[in-house]
Amino acid sequence: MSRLNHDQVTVDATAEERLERAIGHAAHLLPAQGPIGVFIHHNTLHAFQHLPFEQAVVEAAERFGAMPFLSEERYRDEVRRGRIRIEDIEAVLARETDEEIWPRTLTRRELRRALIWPGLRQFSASNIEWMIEEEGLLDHLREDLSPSVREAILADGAVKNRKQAARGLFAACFRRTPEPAGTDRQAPVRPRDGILDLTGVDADRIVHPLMIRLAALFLDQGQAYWPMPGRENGLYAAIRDLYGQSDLFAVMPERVGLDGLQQRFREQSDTKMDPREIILAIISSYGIGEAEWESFITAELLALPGWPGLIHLLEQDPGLAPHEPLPCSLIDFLAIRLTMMDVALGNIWKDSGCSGDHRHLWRQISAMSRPTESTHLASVANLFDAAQLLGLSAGQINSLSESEFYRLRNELESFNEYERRRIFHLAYERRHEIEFLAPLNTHRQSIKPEAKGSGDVSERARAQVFFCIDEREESMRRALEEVAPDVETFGAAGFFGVAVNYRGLDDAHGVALCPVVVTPQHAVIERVAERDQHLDQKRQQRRKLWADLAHNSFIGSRTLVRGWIGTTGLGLLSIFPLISRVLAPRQSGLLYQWLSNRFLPDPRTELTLMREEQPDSHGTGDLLLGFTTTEKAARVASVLRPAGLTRNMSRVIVILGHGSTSLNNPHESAHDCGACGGRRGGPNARLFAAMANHHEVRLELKETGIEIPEDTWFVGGYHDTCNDDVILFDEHAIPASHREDLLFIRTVLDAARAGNALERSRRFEAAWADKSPASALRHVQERAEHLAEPRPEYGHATNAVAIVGRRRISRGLFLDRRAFLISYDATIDPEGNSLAAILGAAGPVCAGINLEYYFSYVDNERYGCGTKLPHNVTGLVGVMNGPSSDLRTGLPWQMVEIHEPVRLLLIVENSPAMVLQSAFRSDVVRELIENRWIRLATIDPDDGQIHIYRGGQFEPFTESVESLPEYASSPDWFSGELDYLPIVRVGAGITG
Amino acid sequence: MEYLIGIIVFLPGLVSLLLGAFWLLGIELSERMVARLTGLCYLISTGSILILLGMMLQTGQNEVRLSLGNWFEAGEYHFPLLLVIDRLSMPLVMLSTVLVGVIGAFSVRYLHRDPGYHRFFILLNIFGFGITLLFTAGSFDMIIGGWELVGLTSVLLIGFFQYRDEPVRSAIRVFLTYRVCDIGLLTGVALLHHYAGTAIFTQLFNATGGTWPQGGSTLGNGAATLVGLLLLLGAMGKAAQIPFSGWLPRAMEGPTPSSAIFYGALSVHAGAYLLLRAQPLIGSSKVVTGAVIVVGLLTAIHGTMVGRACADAKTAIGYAAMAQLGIIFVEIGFGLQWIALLHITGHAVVRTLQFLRAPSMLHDHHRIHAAAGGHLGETGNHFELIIPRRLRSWLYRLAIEQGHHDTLIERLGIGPIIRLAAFLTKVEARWTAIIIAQAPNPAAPLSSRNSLRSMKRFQIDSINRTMERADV
Repeated sequence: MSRLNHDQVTVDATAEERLERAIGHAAHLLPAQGPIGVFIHHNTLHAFQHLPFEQAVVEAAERFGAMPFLSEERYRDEVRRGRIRIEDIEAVLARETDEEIWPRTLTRRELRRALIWPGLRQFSASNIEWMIEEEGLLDHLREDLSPSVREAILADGAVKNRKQAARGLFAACFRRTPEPAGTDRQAPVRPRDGILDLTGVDADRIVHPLMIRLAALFLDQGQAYWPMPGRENGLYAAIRDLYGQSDLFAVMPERVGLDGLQQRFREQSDTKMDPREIILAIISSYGIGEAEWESFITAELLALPGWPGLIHLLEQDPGLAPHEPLPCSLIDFLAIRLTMMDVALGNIWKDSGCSGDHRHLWRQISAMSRPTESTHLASVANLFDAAQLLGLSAGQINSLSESEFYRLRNELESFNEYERRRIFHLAYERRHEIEFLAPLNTHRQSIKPEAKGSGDVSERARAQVFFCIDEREESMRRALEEVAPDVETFGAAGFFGVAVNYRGLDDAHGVALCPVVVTPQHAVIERVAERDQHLDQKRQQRRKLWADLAHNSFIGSRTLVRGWIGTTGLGLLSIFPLISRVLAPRQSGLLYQWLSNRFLPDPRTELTLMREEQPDSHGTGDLLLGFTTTEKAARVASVLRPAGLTRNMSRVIVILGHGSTSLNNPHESAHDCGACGGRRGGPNARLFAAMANHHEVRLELKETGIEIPEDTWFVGGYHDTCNDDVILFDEHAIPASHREDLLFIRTVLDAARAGNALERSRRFEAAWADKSPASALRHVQERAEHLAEPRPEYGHATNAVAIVGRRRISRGLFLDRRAFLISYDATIDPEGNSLAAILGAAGPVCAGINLEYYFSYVDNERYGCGTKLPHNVTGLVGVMNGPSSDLRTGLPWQMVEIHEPVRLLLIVENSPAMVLQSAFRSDVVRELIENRWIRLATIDPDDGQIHIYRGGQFEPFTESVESLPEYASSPDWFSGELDYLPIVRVGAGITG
Repeated sequence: MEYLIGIIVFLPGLVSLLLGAFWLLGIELSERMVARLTGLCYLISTGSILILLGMMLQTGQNEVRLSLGNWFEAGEYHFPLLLVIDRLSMPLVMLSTVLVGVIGAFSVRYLHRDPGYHRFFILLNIFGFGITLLFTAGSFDMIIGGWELVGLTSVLLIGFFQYRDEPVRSAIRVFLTYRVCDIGLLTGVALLHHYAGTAIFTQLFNATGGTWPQGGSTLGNGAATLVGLLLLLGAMGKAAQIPFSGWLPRAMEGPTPSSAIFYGALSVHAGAYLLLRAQPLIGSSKVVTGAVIVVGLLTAIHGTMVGRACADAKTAIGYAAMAQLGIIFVEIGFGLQWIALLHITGHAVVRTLQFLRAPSMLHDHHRIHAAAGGHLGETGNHFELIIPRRLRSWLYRLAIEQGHHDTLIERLGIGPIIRLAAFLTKVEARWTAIIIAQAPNPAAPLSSRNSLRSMKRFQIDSINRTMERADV
């Protein structure tokens, strides 16, 4: 007996393990977006990254019911705008395999060329009748046919007039197109599908509102006043206890459609069933065999993907929860979901008067889907349109042999809509490549040869400034170079090599400031300088006071009695912030800033940076407080060396981290620094500067060949990409000898940020008229403070390219904020080590940003989170549409609306062999490149020859522009333009 | 000076007509133009109401009336177009012009580039017209006009994102709740005409002179109770009082500024305004007074309880508003008109600001959390102290299910009606079948959808039979 039991247990355990595995596989397809307070850009289709891009987007589109590319209509618009040329389409088609469809008269390429442009019109079962009856599809031939094609069709002897030509052709196509045979509709995957089909009642609509409410309350991080009781026991246990109460407390009406749910939870509670057992029991009761587990669970989870996605993510990494770590479990979620679903389906079945057991019958409800006449007509119309494009007359159609006709139809069917969109997309990307690489090529060839061989660094520059690689800093760097041509700029990933767990003076906890793939080993705490201790006390007391006040009034206004007193007695006072915030956002922002400066003392602080050499302390697993000299030197070198700044340093070197502040924007963090894990990178810049100013660090660096002159001073700073503020840290610590340098850099940075604001404003319609840099700066400051502004900044919307190379190959080009700029000097990297490090770190980050924008743009409802306007912050973890919807993941429309969806074009300044060799040292980068999730090009550091990586090999790129237009300054070129602008040369004389 | 009232009320109406006309004619006004027209409109009406206030204070008048004659007359009945600003309407009209103006300014930026931009502003201006008409109406007949315009724009803005399912469903649900409760207002006003022969406030309540809040009802006790209860029903719908409160969370489907102006600020307070206006009548019946207090009290408790178990920003604010609306009803029930009026204005402003700031929830929480040193006082603790665990989870579930009101309404109200309809359909079908059987040419018109369904059901039945046979 006991042995039998034992056997059963092992059998059950393996079944449960297999179930867990199936759930684990299904979970891969759920959105992987964490709590929205820290937004990390990632490839939306990460689960498909092992497939080639073109295949992955189509498979994902079918799986998720989403769009793989833009619509044909959108691409045709791009053709009309000149952003796709016919030659691009032809070039792309030329890369596809060709075949003769009809010997000597028609090739596949010719056919496809015609089907793309002028292109098939859209015919479907739903619009065909309208096209025929209202738009006179049969009354005339297409307007856009070339005269010769038209003549060919009309030349048919039997045709008397044009109308007859069209009708005759359609009739011929109709005769030849066989009636489509009936196809078996796919059997329903979920019981809900079958029962919806039969009864017209959707169980999802019964289950989801409750499921959403429960998931939101469970995951809540402090928004609800009353936390869910028992949630520390996990989602399943908490809900079973809430709904499965017995005795007096069970007396409650049940939701319509969920009668019996209480009883069901009570039974589960009595039998002490484990969530796994519940899932297995329900699945088997519906006769779903093990082979179908995964597809069933996937379909069930994808019906409401956002919430389980977050639960799954928090299950894997509970530390992602911003305030309350919770025992999340996808199995719990599924157990609840299936229990409710089972109850709901049973009720639907009963209510619609069906007999028998729905658990057995749901599969058999798969009627033959009889193709309607409209489907037939639509496929006739496709042929009709194709015949016109090819110049085939009715007579010719009629006289086609059976095999000729079969081959034509086959070709037409295989070149379906997805295929046409793929060709369009590749043509769109080809044009993008040419429009970017050709000017780059021309520019590169014009660079004076005397600088050849050396890095960026020639004579001693007036100042040098490091920015993040972020493409938003491209315009800032250009503005700075235009203002001060004797300043050099560099780009390095915005955590500046300092992966650290940082806790600022005003922070409650330390947070990791580094790329998400890195786990920081070191902690740094910002401390108050000894003599300012009293100021700090006052500051923290007042902040605490303010917090208590704000928190209590926030809660108070929602409770009964306090709310009554508050709204009656003091409510009218809210009219002042209400009116000032809405009508004068910038001024009220300034007022709040002034108040905060007035009442909060600002003590001087220092960083706990130094650590004595203690080699043993590694074993503890805890964070190390501060860095040793060697560690510091390594971090400073990791930024300076790849950038090629090993000598010829200027007297002042500024390191600018970045972040973004905006009001009323749940997606605020998506504008922060990706290299700092979706946070603000000011502390990293400050830390880097402090390290590089350290005397002993400099001595150690000197031994490794990086010579920092005695009179070089590093200054950390922070750039807010939303309001274009630039602050510099520790100005008081700058030696007196460098005051003038500081004054200079401060002045040019101020001019540059105004110029940057002006350039950003060109994209904002609300910025209306032409502005001066000063008023543009005020405009962007207003955006950051405006409660009603859904687009405080456009974020990464313009990203398309990443250039890894010396600034001199792009300096002086107007890149329109399209390129990530990563400083890299190939001439001092013979082994490719620096390059491998750069590509391994920056490649996935840039690709993640780029692909998230791509997918959020091509299908904003499915991959993105739709328009921001009805968004409703939920549980401090995400947004819903209105009061009850799935958790919306991806980017909102207002963030991506000006995006041009192309895959990242990664341009590396090194030889093709070296680039591949370095890039493939990282498996992720290898996968991205080989599966074409990013496009790769190289530019030779010596002669500037460009190569493009296509189909596994490099091809030389030879296009150039005859003359690159030159403008005195960027505003001369972009002023008054709202849209995309091509590359030109700006700021004559700043190219080196 | 009475013509200023006309400006205040009709200017928004005129602007919406103008915008609507351009829209219908296919002339596309620029966003800027729409913004300027709307801004100018509320600037003028706010200016007008301030001037009017100044003049009234100067002359010591408590009431200004604008009579535009009768709209129509039918026998003894006539419909007077009478606008009044007195001490009750003055603060509310001021509030309306300011808040609609502020929301308009907010929406210029918020809805920038949205395809529904024009539609939103047309609706906002119709709402501006409706709400000022409601607050300045001189008779219950005119209140109905404003009341319905407010209700209609409210519903259309809930369904603003018409390409999605949920907003449209929610809009219909809200519309139905409004319609059911409007029955109370409509029959109440009809009965007023029956009993008192008029629906003009002064004739009803101030026949002997004086202005609001003075006055008394001339109706008999029974009549006052009946009319009072019906008006209460009307007010309960707009003010989201239980058991009709289930629509309020659903109303959060619209864009944030419309949630603010309707469910934080103005529309939800219209019910309280109606009761305040009818105060002499309500006060004259103990039953009605009691009912107002009970409804208000229960709503306050319900709102605050459900609001505590809301994890999303907008619904939480909605329930917080509901709780205060309940208290406002209680105040009215106790005859504390001035306090109720102060409460309405203060509450409207607070909630508007909260709704507009709702998307900042994360940002604000983060800042407060950091400033408090990473530890905010835990909320919900005193429940744990007072209430035993089992009762607590019972209450929590009651809160999750929003008091089961929707469930009860669906089971006891909608369910029986649908079943009745189904029964009548069956009767009709039988009846038709009998008639057709007698007719020479039988043609059973079945919609294709139904026939497909019945085919499938037939299929299922035959499967069933096969399986039963197999079992045997």
